[in-house]
Amino acid sequence: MADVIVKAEKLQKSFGDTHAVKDFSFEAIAGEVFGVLGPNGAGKTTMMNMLSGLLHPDTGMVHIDGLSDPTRPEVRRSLGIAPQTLAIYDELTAGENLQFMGKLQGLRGRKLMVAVDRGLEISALAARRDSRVKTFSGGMKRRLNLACALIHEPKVVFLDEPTVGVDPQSRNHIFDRIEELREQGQTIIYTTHYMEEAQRLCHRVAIVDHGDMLATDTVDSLIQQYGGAYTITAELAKTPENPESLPGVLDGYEWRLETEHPLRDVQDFLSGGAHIRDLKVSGPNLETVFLNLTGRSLRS
Amino acid sequence: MKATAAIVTKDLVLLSRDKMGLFFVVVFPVLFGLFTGVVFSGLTQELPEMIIGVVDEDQSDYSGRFIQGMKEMKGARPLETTRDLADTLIRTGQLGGFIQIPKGFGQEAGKVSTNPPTIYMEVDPANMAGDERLKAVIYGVMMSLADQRYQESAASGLAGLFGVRDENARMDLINIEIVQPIDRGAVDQWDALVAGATSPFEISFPLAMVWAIVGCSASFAASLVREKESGTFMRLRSAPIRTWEVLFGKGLAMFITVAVILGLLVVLGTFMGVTVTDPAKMAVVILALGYTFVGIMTLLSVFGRTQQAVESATWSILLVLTMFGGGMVPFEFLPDWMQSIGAVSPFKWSIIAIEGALWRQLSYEQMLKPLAMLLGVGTVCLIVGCTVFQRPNRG
Repeated sequence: MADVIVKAEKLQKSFGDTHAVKDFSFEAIAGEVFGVLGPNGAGKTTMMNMLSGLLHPDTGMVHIDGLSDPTRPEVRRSLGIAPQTLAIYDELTAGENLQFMGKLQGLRGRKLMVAVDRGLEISALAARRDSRVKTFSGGMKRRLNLACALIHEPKVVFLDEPTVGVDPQSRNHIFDRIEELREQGQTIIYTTHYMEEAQRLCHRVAIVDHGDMLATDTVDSLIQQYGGAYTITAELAKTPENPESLPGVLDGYEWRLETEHPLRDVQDFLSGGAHIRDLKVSGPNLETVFLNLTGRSLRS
Repeated sequence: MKATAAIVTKDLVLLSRDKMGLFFVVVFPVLFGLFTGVVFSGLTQELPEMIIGVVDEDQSDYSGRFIQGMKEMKGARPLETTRDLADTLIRTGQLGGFIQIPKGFGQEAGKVSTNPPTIYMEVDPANMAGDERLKAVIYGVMMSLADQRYQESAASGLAGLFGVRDENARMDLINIEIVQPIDRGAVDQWDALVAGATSPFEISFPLAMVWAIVGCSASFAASLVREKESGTFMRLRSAPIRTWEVLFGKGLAMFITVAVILGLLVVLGTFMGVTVTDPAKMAVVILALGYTFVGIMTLLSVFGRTQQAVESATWSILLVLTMFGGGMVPFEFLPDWMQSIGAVSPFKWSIIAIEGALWRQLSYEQMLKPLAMLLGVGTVCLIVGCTVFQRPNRG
């Protein structure tokens, strides 16, 4: 059986009358990228703060690598955290930020120098080593924020929406780094409200909304269980002679059909003499999973 | 401990790059010290000579010598008159005061005695520090008369120098009786305040130190809450160190800053004529001030959840405490009601402690009270501040 490295048991947290996290339980195994997907306000950051010991749960337990209290220094030494807010010092340079974070983690001397150089490489900021962070773009700051979490090569990395507000170039850079970490067997807990990120990066995903954990499984299994059918959307060159005989919905020149067998249905449609100007077949994804589980879109 | 050192270094670097913070921590206190020192210099310029009415009821050889001695002294010019006329001239501002030499003065004048001759004096209440100046003139003349008495009695031995002797009583040259109580105005208070100070900067530099402490406290309280707001505090808390170690690092950075800035102000003050009578005592005071205001800063940092709220609260509270504690205007100049309230201001005790080590030459026993007050306030604030700061889920 694979090693469970992060275990959350019945975590609950309320702020006044607001139940931020109602009953979260999950296990992440070593080398796994575990995603937590949900819209803003779903309770992702509250859960992350409880996992990292920054917030005390009202009830429930957190175990990291077999140890129960994440506030203990020996547990924290095994954690790397990239919070959603940019936890770096604007008035320090990129190098100074990494050096400071390394010292906090107990790195000294040559080890620290090597770690700082690696951090600059991870964030692709080696050329800006001596520039103050306040002169950086949002994407550069995000990259540095991520590098600070990795400075001491932790066993587990918590990434709380690491691509919020970044340009596409920096986002791809962050994805590449996370994929590298995944290949190296790094355990990552990754929160996001972007379906594409969870689908691309995570082995397993928990779907959360309004403080509830609705489903947890691999991306494929979730899609299989909750994703629903394929959707065919076609723009027709001319309206068919017998529109009543068509399956699906015809709205002017646009035809939509939800089906389990998209290729077969398209073939039947074309063999019936239909003239199609544009055709799009979209499979079920985490967006449709979320839609089917909650009745609303992730982006709404 | 190494993580704490990293936090201290980081905070000092951040302070050195915060231009506004540096202004209030370093530049403003220095300017304040220099500016107020120059202003106070104007108050201690040489005063014009006083015209003193002299009523000589003794009409003896020695009373004549006394009047002659006054003429030769700087600061007071005698004008022989009558008692009634002297009163009128004082009321109309034409005399700075008067001296009444009673009958029998000449018999004992110039002798050291347990029952020395008496001189009566009155000074115009509006006259700047007139009573102290006139007393100084009288003592000066009496010393001169004692010298003359010694010269004349050399042949008959030293016995002639002594009058009535009583082993159990204090011996003196003169007994000065003030005819009517003098209404001490602000300028007289200034005179009393600076008694012992050799430079106006010895008054202004303790105030400058207070302003440096205010700047440090405000700057570090704001930096603590800025860390919480920006998310860097989360990074500190998630590091393998305890929250108290994070607070300790912050506190130590401020402690070092206070000690360095106050030390620099003392050094700068010495160039401006400030005397440090006991450097060891000064060091003790600086360490106590550092500790006290680290505690106060910690408490102030929990007065709000945003940098703006904490900055506003910090400056408001510190300015009020500074005003009531004599950090803007010397404490002795404040009205009684303000002095009563100011007794609880740590700045009052700070100034007493600083001046005690600089020029008031307070003994360690005398320093105990202000230092105990400071350390007490600092400890209470530190405990309350740390408790609130470390409350679960805060921030």
